[in-house]
Amino acid sequence: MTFELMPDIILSTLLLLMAWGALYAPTRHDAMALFVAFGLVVALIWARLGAPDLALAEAAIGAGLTGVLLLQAARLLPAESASTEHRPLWFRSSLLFLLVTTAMFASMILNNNSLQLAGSGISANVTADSASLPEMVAAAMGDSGVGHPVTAVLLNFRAWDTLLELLVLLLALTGVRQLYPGVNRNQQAVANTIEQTWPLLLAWARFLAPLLVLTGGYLLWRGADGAGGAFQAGAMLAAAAVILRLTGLLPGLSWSSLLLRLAVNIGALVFLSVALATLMFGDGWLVYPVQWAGALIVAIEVFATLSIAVTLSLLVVGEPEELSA
Amino acid sequence: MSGLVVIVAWIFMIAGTVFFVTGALGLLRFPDVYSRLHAVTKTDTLGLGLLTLGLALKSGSPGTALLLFVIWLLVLASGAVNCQLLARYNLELEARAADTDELNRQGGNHDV
Amino acid sequence: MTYALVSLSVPLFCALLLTLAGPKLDSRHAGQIAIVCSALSLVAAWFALMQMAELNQTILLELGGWESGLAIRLRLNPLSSLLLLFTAFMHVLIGVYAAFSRQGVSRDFWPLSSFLHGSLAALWLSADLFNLYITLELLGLTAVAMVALAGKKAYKPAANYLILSLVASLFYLLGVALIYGRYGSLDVVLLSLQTQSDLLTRIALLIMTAGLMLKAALWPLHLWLPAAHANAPTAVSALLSGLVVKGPLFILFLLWSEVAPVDLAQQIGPVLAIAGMIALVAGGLSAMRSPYIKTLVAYSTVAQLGYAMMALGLLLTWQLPQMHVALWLFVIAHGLAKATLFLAAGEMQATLGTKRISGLRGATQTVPVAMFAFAVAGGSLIGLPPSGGFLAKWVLLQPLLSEPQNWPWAFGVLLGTLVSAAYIFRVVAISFDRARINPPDIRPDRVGHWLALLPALMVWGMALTGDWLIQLLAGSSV
Repeated sequence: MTFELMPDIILSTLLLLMAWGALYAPTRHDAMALFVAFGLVVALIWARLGAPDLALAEAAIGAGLTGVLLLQAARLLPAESASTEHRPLWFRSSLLFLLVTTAMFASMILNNNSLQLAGSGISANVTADSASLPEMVAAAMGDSGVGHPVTAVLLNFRAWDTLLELLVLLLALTGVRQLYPGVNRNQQAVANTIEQTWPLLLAWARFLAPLLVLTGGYLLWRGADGAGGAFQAGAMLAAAAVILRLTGLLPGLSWSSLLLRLAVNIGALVFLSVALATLMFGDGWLVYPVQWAGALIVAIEVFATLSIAVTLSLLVVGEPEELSA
Repeated sequence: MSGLVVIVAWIFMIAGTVFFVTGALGLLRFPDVYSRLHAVTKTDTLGLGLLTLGLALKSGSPGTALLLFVIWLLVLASGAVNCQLLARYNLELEARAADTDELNRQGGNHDV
Repeated sequence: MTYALVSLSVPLFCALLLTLAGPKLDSRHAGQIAIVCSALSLVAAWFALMQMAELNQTILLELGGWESGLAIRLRLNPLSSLLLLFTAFMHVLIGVYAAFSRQGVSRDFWPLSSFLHGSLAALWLSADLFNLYITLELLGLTAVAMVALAGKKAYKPAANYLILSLVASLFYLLGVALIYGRYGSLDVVLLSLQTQSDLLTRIALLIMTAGLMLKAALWPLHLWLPAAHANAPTAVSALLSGLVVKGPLFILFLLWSEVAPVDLAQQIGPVLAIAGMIALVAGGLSAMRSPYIKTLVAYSTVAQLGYAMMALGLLLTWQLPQMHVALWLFVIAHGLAKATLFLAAGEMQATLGTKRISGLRGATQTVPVAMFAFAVAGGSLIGLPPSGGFLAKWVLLQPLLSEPQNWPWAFGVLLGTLVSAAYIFRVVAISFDRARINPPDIRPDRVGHWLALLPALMVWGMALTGDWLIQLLAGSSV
């Protein structure tokens, strides 16, 4: 064991502890706090893995937005009754079984050479002409239109995945919208009242939001040839929107506005239109013309950022009665 | 010379860590919200300040030092604001609890 | 390939436009747009299938024009084009039902069903393990949102479904990560040349199988299905049972018949086949004992998936291409029959004002068309000739009966048939009880009942094209 490994081991242990704590905390409140802490540890791990942009996005989503969502949900739930339940015997015995089987698996894997092969990325029977994936990415970078391998993979080599991911986010919002007709009117009133906001909080929000927008813009702009990209930028912008909304500085986001719906859809629409256009007028589905690749990718990223930011904000601070419309 | 700077930097960083540990101890051991906030924010500010100072010295480049200083300022401001917000929230909670107590007592008197 | 891509992108585009239109568009118009889009997609899928039937070879498309390995590959073969056609066809049928029956659906059904259509099309065409993961995720989220359309009573099943679906996705993703770490490739075709039967591959495949079985509600991981499918709105139940559970099944099929090395596939085969046999009997018994109509139909899905699992298991054990034909014929026949069963069950439930099977007394008199639809679709599930169900069962049974040592499997199939007959006839028998009729609450919705009958007629019509279907599927066997 080298000294280099120490932070990783500490972080991993911390992560497991937080996860355990969030699952088995005695009260709802403790569990939520530990979950937020869990998100922060994940962010640290991203930073440690050399992905500061993902660390920021994780902190914004995993700790920030999810924390707000959890707190809002907790307000709608009935007060929790003090639970002193004892876990039944089957629970403990299944836990024991799980531990034993995990240990057996672990010992088997550790004694097996396939583990050493894994992660090295080298397949046992690589033929002479097939290069490993990172090499292929490096070789194709010149034609990708961007300067950073992650962006090239996300928006060019595997653009189809990213297009579908945008749809996943959109679907999450559609799914959440289904739940609102069931919200009781009185509860809504409670959930939406913003208590008289303190001046200091307002001032801080006014200071923080532009900083977040700046960071988001930077991440988006940097995505072309460094760590960053639409999703991270969208998360930053959403965090800014949520802060402004919670302090009452931003008016309610209502689903009935066409502009808002357009903002939610535009990322996927533009992306899909590009795909269709390349199919009809170009060389095929998602084959960007080389000289246009950079411009197309930037355009898609900008619109995707907008969609991601608005969708995430709506998920967290959308107006229930408006969303259900 | 540079050896000396590194040693000083390490001293700063260790001192900063010690402050963090003290803050954590205070958070665990102090009796009420205000004193806990006091412990956490004071030592955070100082601890982070010493850490960034140490790191800035170690990095040796003015640009990085400036960045670290800005980070420290941001955390400083956010710590101060959060402390103030938490304290105020707690104060309002206490006031509200006192009010309800008062009301209950009055209600009880009326019943009698 | 262009046709297939059009068939895939039309519903996605439609879903986006419907979401964009939002509350401005009423349910009627949204429905018409969605149906037209499904029909367009159907036409495109038909052309793709015709092209495939002519060429009879696999087309691989490297997305973005990058070299293989770097790009995601889409694959069009007779099987995927047939499934594309089937998906579009089911969406048209169920869309027409949802638009014109009195039960109706809320406005949000339309964008969601278009999303479902698009994500299924993406799934059938994909030949990349990670891309398949995303389509699974899309499929799961759409399905959960659609279950939640039924309102408050469906929230709990929908939440359970969501959690299980996410857990299953993560299992699958973990397996994908292990495979990628081991072989440095995600492409199904490339992996099929590389995989070896070492421990890590085994573990990865098992983890992925567990996740996919949970998603496809294959026995013994089926417990979430009856609650979720029975509580969804009628049209949604039909889509979920007819199509959604088949997606993970398709991935399972790809995984074991292509990615896994042959000796591992031969090891897992009997396990899957036995699980399928148990599913047939256990699911059938649960369906037989269920007091509610829709729960009966939902449990029958669990049972019928047993056939598919058995066909898959035997395909892997014996590496018989014929089983491949049986598997997909089952999937298609079951999809059509199950659509009718759910639609008819929903119609009868609404007309007679009861969820209980005992409330169906005299249904042959009060709701004759819906009951007829139920019985006809049930006939296909049992496997009465000349339905699509019979066709599938026949293809499955032929190799089983030809060798004496295979007779235990044939016995399992026949036992399953018996149990299916038992729960279908239980409903049919009650409906003939004209002595104590349960009078309908409302005037029967004739249009809805006839529309419910439509998929059942299609499944019986399947037998007419049986020879062609078998040839087509046999041509695409791997």
